Amino acid sequence: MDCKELVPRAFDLSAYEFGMPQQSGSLTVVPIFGRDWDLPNPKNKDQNQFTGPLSGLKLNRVVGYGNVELSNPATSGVAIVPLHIGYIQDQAQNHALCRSAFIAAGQTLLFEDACCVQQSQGGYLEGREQWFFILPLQLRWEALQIRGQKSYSKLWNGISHLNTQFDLPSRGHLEQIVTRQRAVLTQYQSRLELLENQIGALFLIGDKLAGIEIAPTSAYFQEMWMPLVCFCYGTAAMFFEKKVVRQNQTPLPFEASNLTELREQLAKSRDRFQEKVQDHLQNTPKEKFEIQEEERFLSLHLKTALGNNFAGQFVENDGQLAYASLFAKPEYLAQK
Amino acid sequence: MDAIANRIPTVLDYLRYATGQDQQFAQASQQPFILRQGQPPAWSDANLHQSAWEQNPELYALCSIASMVPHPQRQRILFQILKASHTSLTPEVRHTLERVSNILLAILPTEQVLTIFLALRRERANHKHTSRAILRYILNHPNLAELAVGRRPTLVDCLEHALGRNVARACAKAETNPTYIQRHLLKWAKDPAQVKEIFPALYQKGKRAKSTSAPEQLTSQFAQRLEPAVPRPTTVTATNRGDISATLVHLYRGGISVELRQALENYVVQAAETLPKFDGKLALVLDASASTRGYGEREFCNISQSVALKLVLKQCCSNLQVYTVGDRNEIPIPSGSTDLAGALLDALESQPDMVAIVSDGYENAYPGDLARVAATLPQAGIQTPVVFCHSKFTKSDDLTWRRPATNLPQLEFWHQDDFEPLMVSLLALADGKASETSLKEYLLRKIGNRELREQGTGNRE
Repeated sequence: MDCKELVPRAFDLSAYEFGMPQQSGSLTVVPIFGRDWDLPNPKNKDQNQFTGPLSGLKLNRVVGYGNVELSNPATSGVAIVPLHIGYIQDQAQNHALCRSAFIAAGQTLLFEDACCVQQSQGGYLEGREQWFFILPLQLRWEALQIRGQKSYSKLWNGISHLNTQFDLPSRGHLEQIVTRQRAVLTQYQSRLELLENQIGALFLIGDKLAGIEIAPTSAYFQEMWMPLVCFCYGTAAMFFEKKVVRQNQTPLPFEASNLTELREQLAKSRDRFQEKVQDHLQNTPKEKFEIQEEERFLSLHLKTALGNNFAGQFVENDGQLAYASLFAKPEYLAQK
Repeated sequence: MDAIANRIPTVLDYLRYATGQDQQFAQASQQPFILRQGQPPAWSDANLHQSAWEQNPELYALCSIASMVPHPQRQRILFQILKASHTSLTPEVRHTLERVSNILLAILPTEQVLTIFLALRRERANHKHTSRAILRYILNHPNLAELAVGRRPTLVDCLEHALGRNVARACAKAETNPTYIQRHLLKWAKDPAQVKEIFPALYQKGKRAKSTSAPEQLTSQFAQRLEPAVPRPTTVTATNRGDISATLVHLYRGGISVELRQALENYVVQAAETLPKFDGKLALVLDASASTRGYGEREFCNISQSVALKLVLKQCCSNLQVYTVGDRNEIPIPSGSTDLAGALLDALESQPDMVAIVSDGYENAYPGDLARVAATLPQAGIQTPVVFCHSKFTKSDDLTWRRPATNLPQLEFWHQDDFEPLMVSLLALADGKASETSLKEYLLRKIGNRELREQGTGNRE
């Protein structure tokens, strides 16, 4: 697919290629392929430049409510903390981060602006068994806005509002969705399939672009796939699917009278499907982003992008895109 | 059933109906065989049974031995076998019918068998094989004494129907010549002394022997299993869904030992020995896309069970062609998206007798295409049966988003023990002479195995 002229145009996506779209229910994914920053490099053959969020990034502990300590125990390579990563653990208050960050190999970093996402659960997260997610799409804009604010309860109102949308008790308990609906949400990683060497994806909910996710390496994206497709975009898709009653429609036959014609018409139909997805992408309003630099790590620059309909953070390496997590704001997705 | 509305139903049509593969009639096939007082038996599917019987009585009778045929259908088949005349049939077919009747009489609850006997009386069916079956069953029933008390009028009706009223009543009289009683009654009994004692009591209305069991208990407790019970795991894990998939899971997880490879081969051969064979041309569309890998504790479970089925089919089908969606190795590594429609068209190009699509059901590359292609096949002149086989982790998998083509016949499997009903269903759906021959051979083999087990144990399970 040719999606290089996509919004947000502040980014140069010419280095990337877009695969065949996949669709399940209301969620469509366009896989992205492109530069893998960890592919063998003649200058440093055995070193990983980027460590993955699951294999490389460790939650050490929660020092106090709203204070989350992460570390990168690797001997080389920098960890880009995924934007809006959250951790779930039994018997402890689940937390999520409002921003991305760099953590050097061997470094420990305390996030004092983390938010608690489980209102009335006692106990602190520890380094024992835990799993991570990315905040549901509906909460990401609010979370990004309150980055830097030290208040562990700052996202409770947003979570309560989200819960009421799902007809759940109005509480600051995100686990009402991500844990109790886990069996439904985790189906999204099978309903939509990660492809070999995939480095990112465009996510569409219904006919609207809902997010652009690009990782520095395919291994990094592989570790991000489930948290993204299930908990971030899956939660939004689940809400959409909840509103739309599934109808068992009788499939419309092709106008073919033999196998050869059927094959031809199938191919045409598939071209039309790709064109439809491309139209949806091209109908996305043009954006002008306000860019703010947040952090630096050697040649890496972490920046925040704020637009009318989209926002997020991205990382550039010597001016080339290495990581991006940009998402649609709730108001944009709600527009008809 | 819609498809057969305008033609005479075949035995395979009947088998599809009896096993619930016609969704529309799934409940109808489960309805009990009803006999109301003073009325002929009520069974709404009588015409279907009659048609199947007329076309191929042997295969029709054998259908009752298929494991997924429900008891109400077995009851009807027993009624049909005992009701119909066997005079125009070959000795070979008559022998098969007798073997099937014997099994059905052993596995059906006594209550249902007695209902059949009463229905035969209402229909005035008194062929030699009918009388023989009634007399052998009642006179050798392990709970005869209790039945004589709890179901006395029923037994009298059935025995008088089988023997003739006058003969039966004569046998009950003390003054009747013993040779007469031996010739007409006792020759059917394995324990003549017991029958000699109980039979006259059936006609002594005021005098009742003592029974320790309630009538409903004694009519339900005598029923054997068709096959030895094989319990399924209550907690399903990656490696307790059959030996083949368990070994494949270990191989997928990185086990590369020679023992695993050798064991896999052995398990496949062992499993295939007990399953139906098919000499037709079967095209298998095998979904090995990324989603079949699964994750967490279920990682590689789905692909393992699908590959297990493929390996078994390779042994059982003389002409199997595999069209893999994804990696094409013998044991494929799950990868890529799921384009089932394209693979189906590839499979149909080879003009098979049947296409079986084995998939986890997640169609994400051009979703809806499989259903549309399936809907187009009749107008494109393709009559080849296409069946969708759901590969699942447990019986209770949520298939809400995993039914890409509800317009195709749907089968499901999650355990290796599901291969047998799945393959019988495939044969039923394949239609044609080849599948009839395969089914007959398989079901006769199954009867033979059961008879051998019976001889081996020498008693009831």
